[in-house]
Amino acid sequence: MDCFEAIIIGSGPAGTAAALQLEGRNVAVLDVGFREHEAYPFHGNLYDLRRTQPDLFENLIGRNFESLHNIHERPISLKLKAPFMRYVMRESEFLSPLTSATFEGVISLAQGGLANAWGAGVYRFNARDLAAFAITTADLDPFYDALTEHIGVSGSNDDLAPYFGSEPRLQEPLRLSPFAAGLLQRYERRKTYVQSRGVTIGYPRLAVLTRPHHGRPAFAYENLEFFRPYDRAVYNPVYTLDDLVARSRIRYLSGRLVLHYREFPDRVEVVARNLSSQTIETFSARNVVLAAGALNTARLVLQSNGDYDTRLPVLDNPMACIPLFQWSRIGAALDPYDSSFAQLNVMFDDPDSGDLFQGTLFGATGPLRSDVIFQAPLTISANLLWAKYLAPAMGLLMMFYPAKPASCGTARLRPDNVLEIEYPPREPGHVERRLTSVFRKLGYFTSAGLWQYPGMGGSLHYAGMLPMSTRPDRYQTDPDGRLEGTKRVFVADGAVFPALPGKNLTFTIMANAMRVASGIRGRLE
Amino acid sequence: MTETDESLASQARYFHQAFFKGELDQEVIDRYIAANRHCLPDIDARSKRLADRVVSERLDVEAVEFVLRRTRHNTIVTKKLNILFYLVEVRSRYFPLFVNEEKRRLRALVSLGLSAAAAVYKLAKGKYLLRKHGLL
Repeated sequence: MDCFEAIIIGSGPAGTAAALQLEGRNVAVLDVGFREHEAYPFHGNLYDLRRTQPDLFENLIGRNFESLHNIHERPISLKLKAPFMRYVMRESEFLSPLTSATFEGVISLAQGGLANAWGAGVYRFNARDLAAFAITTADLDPFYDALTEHIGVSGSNDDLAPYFGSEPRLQEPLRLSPFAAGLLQRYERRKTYVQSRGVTIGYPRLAVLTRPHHGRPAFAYENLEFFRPYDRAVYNPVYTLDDLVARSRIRYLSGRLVLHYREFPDRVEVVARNLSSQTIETFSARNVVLAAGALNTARLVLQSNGDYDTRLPVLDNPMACIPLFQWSRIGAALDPYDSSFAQLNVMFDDPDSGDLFQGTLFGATGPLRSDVIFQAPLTISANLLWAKYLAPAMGLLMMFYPAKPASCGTARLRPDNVLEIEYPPREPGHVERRLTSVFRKLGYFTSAGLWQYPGMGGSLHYAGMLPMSTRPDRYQTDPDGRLEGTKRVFVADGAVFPALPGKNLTFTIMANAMRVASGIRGRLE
Repeated sequence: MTETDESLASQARYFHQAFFKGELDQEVIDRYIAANRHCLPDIDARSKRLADRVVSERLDVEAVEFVLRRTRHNTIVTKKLNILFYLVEVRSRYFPLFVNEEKRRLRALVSLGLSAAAAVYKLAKGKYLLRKHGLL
């Protein structure tokens, strides 16, 4: 049997970042790796298409009525249910089952993982965010820098720079919608007041190009983010993986569901099921990097230890969704050359709790109206009119709360490979009222009756199962990512986060994965 | 219970007529039938009776659905209407009904105000219809 220098399990943001750092070594990525192979049939702006093409059924609904999923199944994110996006969650319920009454977990076995449908937010963690971690910003900065250069990041060194870091290599930010541009102007005019209330507003940092970069084009504002995969202007780990494979810098072995690993004094054996032949295969490596996503990495560790009793911690960002309305824009023409990505970020530094909350403002142009009008509070006709005339006047503010270990969930693996998660229900916070009072002063209105609180698991930010520590205990990791009790098993995804700030974590997962891989590379060399 | 194609086609036409002008294309009717088979393959007898009576007795489906949605009493009519709306929304003929592309502030404010007022009426009407026809 060949012995690799390292096997990386998973091809999401963490796995691919680790692969990038280990390129050129004798490294294999083992992955289930579903992809959408059918070419998206249309090009052009969504609204131009909807206005001019007589029928977009196959494109937007799907031959198998994929987009109707939420009518008859457990609801999933609107970005995951369109026909050409279904590969992201393909067979995950069967191959990586979860069960919970209180946690709506989402797992992807696609090549690239959940980054196939992500919001592309890339935010550096600062010292405050890393306070509970066993590493510092100095440990991560070189890798944040490398990733910024690799993937291309757009944004601005504006008032949010203290939270996101000053970054000289940013491309210009995406064009704002009229709603968001108006909000930013109002913020600028009343900045002193707004900031005195702990609120700072500015451009997001996005892995979306506004200029060509390394052979990928600039974003074309086609508004197809909910429907079309693989927009090359939007970073997807798949591009890195494809490039590494094309240049023979790593080996990529897809169609493999890793079942468990076994460590020996001189190697680790990884046992996987070949999903095509349904045979069991064993791979050998000097090191294994677990990057299957926090939930699946936890599953693998527990399975490999034959442990069906221990409950591991689970962290997830509680969320609040707050629609904001600007009355003067009611009845305005919809700007279809928009994007479904973050328009603005709102950071709320709560002086009472000392917590920091990240809010992201989205527009309302992405999803179909039929996705929302049956959730609104009036008659269907009224809801349709409100959706039609209010869409240009509306922004949706999604707030992430920090996840506190004291109120985290737990996960246990059952002998039938089902990951059982319990998560205490969250209490609606006081943050919404404080924040919306600030927006009211800026001229934006909302109603508490319209606020929504997605269930735990809805943020798709999972972390904390194997937390890093300077003195790790069982099922914890050391600062190098090494799983306690092992010599050759490393964890590179969000499972190692000991805390979860109210800030998007993907960029930090990637940087940390590169850091862990860098340590492995150093030992190999 | 399984609904017949004829019953589903009648639903599609009746529901469409309640919200949109003009005839419903046969292609959409066929898709409505197929979508119901896919999404709602086996509805309970009570839900079937509810949907059938709304159509056969030409009840105000919007009013009935509004009450049922608010009271969470039965979701079948909501789901069926949701299916229909998805199927028509992706056709260019209906685009202007879903998207506003011109500045129409006065029209917007007037129609929003009227629709909110109409919702109050529909709520009362829906409750009356459900009680009168024993559909609760």
